[in-house]
Amino acid sequence: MKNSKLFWFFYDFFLQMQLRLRLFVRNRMICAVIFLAAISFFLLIRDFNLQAQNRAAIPIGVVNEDQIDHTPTTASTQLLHGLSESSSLLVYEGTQNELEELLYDGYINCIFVIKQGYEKRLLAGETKELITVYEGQDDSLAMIISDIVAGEMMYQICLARGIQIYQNIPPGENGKHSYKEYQQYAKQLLESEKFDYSFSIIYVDTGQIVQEKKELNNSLLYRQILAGIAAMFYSFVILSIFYQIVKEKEQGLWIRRKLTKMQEIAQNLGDLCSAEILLSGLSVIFSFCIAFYLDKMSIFFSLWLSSMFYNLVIGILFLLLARKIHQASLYQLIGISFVAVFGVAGFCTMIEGILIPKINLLHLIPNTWLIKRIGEQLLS
Amino acid sequence: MSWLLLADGKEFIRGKWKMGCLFLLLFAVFTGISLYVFTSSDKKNQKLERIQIGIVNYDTSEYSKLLLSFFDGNEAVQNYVEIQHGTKEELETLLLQNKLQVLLIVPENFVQDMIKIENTPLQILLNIEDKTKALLMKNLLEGYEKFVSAVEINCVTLYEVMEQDGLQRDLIDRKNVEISLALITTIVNKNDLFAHLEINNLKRVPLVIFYLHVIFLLLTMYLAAGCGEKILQEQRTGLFARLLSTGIVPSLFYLEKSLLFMIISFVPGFFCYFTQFILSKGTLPIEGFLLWIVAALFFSVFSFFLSGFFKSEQQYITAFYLIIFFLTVLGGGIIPFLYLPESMTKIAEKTPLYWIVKQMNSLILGEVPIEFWNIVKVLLAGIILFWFAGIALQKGKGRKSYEEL
Repeated sequence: MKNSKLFWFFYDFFLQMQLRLRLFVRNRMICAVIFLAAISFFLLIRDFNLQAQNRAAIPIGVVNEDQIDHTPTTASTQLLHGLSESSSLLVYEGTQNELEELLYDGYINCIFVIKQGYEKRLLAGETKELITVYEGQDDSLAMIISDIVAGEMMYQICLARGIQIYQNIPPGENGKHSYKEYQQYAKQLLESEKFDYSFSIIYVDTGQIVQEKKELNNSLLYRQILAGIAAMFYSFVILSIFYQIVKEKEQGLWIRRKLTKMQEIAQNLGDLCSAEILLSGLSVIFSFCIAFYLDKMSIFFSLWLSSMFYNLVIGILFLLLARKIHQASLYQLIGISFVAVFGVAGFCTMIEGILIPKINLLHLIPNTWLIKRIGEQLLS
Repeated sequence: MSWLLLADGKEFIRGKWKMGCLFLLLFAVFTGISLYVFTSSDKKNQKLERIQIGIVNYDTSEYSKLLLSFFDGNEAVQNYVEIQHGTKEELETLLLQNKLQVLLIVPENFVQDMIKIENTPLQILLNIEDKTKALLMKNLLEGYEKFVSAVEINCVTLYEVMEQDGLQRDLIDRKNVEISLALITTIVNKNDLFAHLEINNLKRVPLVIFYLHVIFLLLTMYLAAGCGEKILQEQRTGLFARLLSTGIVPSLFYLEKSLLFMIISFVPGFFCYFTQFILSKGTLPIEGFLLWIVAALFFSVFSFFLSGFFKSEQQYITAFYLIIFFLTVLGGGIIPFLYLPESMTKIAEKTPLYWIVKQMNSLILGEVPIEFWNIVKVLLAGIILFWFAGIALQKGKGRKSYEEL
């Protein structure tokens, strides 16, 4: 009985897939390179994930000049403590010279100097220019950082103002609270669970009200950037896998292959599947790191699927490129250009509408889709 | 060597018209972006889409308007935020259509209730479809919440302390109003808390220009990969053995390849800096061209060195792509240096990409940095080191006799 076309299609498909995988596995040097790359990728993603919460914050330098007998005052210490606890800021303390060096080297964004006499002036109700901010030219971020710092200062300023008003009031029937008692009372209120002034925030996503999203914090952006890095990494690996196809064309193997009458679509699918199999391991590394360090192993599979889908789309693109182009150098140039431009464009969509204008074309890029998708899964 | 260079150059260009078109396209894109960034120097004229905030204010008091001037009157916030006023239904519809990022609903008598220590919270609907904007708004709102919270706590403290002191009711109420207004005024004038001093020689390039430099440097690096690939190809095909039989010294062969790919990989850098040079009307330092030449030579020689470890082009290409990728990530080419984990900043400072991009960012601002010549010396030292290491690795490779081919 003659075998059907479908039978030969699957036969060619598995044959091609097997061939590609065998060629890869037999090449021990490439296996070693990919293995080392996988380990490096794991260490990179792990390190970024561990530090996501910290490094998503804006790094600033703080100099505390408000000291009495070389001891920092209570008010300045409290401010420093509040700034260090803030999730939006990463604080480096030091002298002005040390921090200026960090500023020029690009470690910090700006320097806040708590001036000498900060506590004294604060308690006296003077609030003008309590802190000096050293910033670069046209640095609009410095104003936003100043607002965050002002938020930490506001409680002390308001407390000092309240004490000032209270001290001018005559004693009542039951006497009068002392300065320390007043402070203590305010502190109790601040720390009390019963007193909680907060906004009533309702989250809306795609036209629907959703429950509170605790994961909506600055580390989410950082992890989305990791998705962008992973996308570029997958792209480079796929680019180098399909480089072999172009080399085979240059060496004349392709013409010989045509004599075998293998179905072209089956060959293409075989090559694509082999690339997907090879990349599945790298996708596991990425998905595992993200899910593990977020303590949300439930999203591991969906993260992995998203990565695999991205690999499929990029695989199709580079496979088409490899089929159409006959010169390895041209294939490399175009491939690298795609990877670089897609990679940067993907990151740009995270800041469009804020730091750059909205460009609709950017949303057609696969990297953009992966970054957005990972963001949605992290919040799910 | 010159005839070898000419022959390889002709072979490279032959049939590469597509490559030429691609370069022209890249050049056009770069010129367009540079024109946009350099000529739109007034940031207020840049039509950046700002975050849309809707405000429904049911509190008609003057004090509530004062509080909301945090958004309306704040210069820094207005760079990123645009306020829309309207009815609750209109603004809710816009929010659900993703035309608004945040809807703030100020309840009736909000400020009055705050003064009377009756906690009526602000209602906020936050659209989280665009995660970046949602996070920016969340940070802004958290800051705003701290201000209002500070006012509330201290108003309550004064009120309750006065009550405990047994003071008269009308005195308590009067002082309560006094402190509330004083504190609200303090919040509104919060910018006065700071003295802003600009450091004159601390300029930063826009993020777009930073990433453009990274893209062109990536192109330079990957074009330089052709050096090692070409060497391996000619060793494999026996061309190298044939050339040796003509009396050519191997190091001359490798030098020719390195120089050829230095010229080729210099092209993106040249386009990049030349465009910026023209747009700046010739005010940029010439040293920029030198930096790109040295960078091109460095990566070509590195490519030659790396090819010594491999026998086939595919092995070499895979390794080269991945090494360059990791160097780019570790060097702050994707996540800017300011936001790299601390453990990686130490590594980043030692990568060529970090050095080159940092120098390029300073040059584009019209200054030759102090460490420029030190960086050039380090790169040249690296070139010499990789060159000799490459020669040692290549010894004996590709020397098949004519009969063995």
